[in-house]
Amino acid sequence: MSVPYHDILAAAGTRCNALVGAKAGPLETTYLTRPLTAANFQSSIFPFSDYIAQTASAVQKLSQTIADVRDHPWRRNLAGRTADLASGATIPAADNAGASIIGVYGNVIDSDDGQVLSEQPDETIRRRLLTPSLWKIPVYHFSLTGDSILHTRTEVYLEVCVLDYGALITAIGANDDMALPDVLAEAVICGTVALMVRDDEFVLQAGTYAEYFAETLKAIRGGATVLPVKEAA
Amino acid sequence: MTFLEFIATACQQALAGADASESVLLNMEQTAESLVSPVFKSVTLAINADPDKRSLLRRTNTIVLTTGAGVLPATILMECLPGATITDPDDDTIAQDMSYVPDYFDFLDAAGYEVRLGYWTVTANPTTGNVLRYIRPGDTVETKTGDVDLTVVTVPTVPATSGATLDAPQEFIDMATIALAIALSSKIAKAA
Repeated sequence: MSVPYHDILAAAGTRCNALVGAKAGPLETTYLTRPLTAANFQSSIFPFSDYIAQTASAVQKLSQTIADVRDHPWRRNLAGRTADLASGATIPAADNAGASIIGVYGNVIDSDDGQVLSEQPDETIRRRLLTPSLWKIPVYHFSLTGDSILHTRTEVYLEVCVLDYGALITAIGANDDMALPDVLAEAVICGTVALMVRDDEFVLQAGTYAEYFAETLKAIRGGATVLPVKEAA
Repeated sequence: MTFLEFIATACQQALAGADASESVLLNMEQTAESLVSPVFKSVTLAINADPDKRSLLRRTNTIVLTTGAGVLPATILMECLPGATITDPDDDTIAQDMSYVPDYFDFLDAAGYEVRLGYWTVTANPTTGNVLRYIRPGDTVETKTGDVDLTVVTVPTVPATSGATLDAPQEFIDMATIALAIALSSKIAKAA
């Protein structure tokens, strides 16, 4: 990953005329300044911190959309895992590092030997759990029931997607590299600009960028990793 | 071959020609294991019915008698008893004088016909397991306390753990694998 978050802030700020520099030279200097600070932003409408917050919102939206697609390859950019869970345990809301779990669950993995479990009906799992001495052959079955998991192993964990809002805000402010794939930098810029609207300020522009952003989200929902080209309607 | 390998082989054979994307059908190890005991018995009976193959599964089982009666292990099937031989470690001369009497009432009568011969029978007992009853030559009632050896076509034991090796001839394992695969295939065909 090699797209620093402040590249996105600079691109978004430029589109809202927020960067310091009335002429091309000073504006270019501000555009290339790293890290950016509140002093590099001159907008009286959207302060520097708002760019950080709205960039976080765009990243959240993209992350949630990716996490909702069961087999999307970009899930690895959001990868986390739950703590080890015994059969009947409640599935936690956060992964084993404390980040919030988002989207649909990934594979269920045996904590001991790393084998992937297969989903089976509750009835099959129950039959196994009620007659443990009957069986000699190990089976790797699970079922998700409400907010808990039943399974036939000693302990399992779920592969999940995670997003920690606080850590994301910190990462953007610190100009860390974007956690999402580089190809989504343009989508994050579009998502950020789409949220830069107040009363009658930048309404038309925000609507245009919102369309760009929506196209990307739609493509991701379909499992795509090749994103649509930006074209104004 | 371990028990786990046996189950895996049968499951794989059962899937031949099936739609591999039918994931529910792929997870049939538990169903396979539930069929092992009847499949072992079925194959054992098939072997018992073939005089050329009986020796594959003929095993000597030591039965502990108390006053002429002792419990048989569940691996000895009633259908296989007509081909069995019984020997007495206390008297190795009487094996040829022993007669198997399938019906219990005939067994009680037979003891009085010719006391120079010995008789044995097996009665069903769902609580303890089937019971061997044994009257020695010269006796008219069951008296022996001690061991007798019953050599008979015997169902191989289902291993106690998944990693344990199947204690059976390869010919039996091959037949049982195919029989289990066929049993699973019929269930797959119904589910598909």
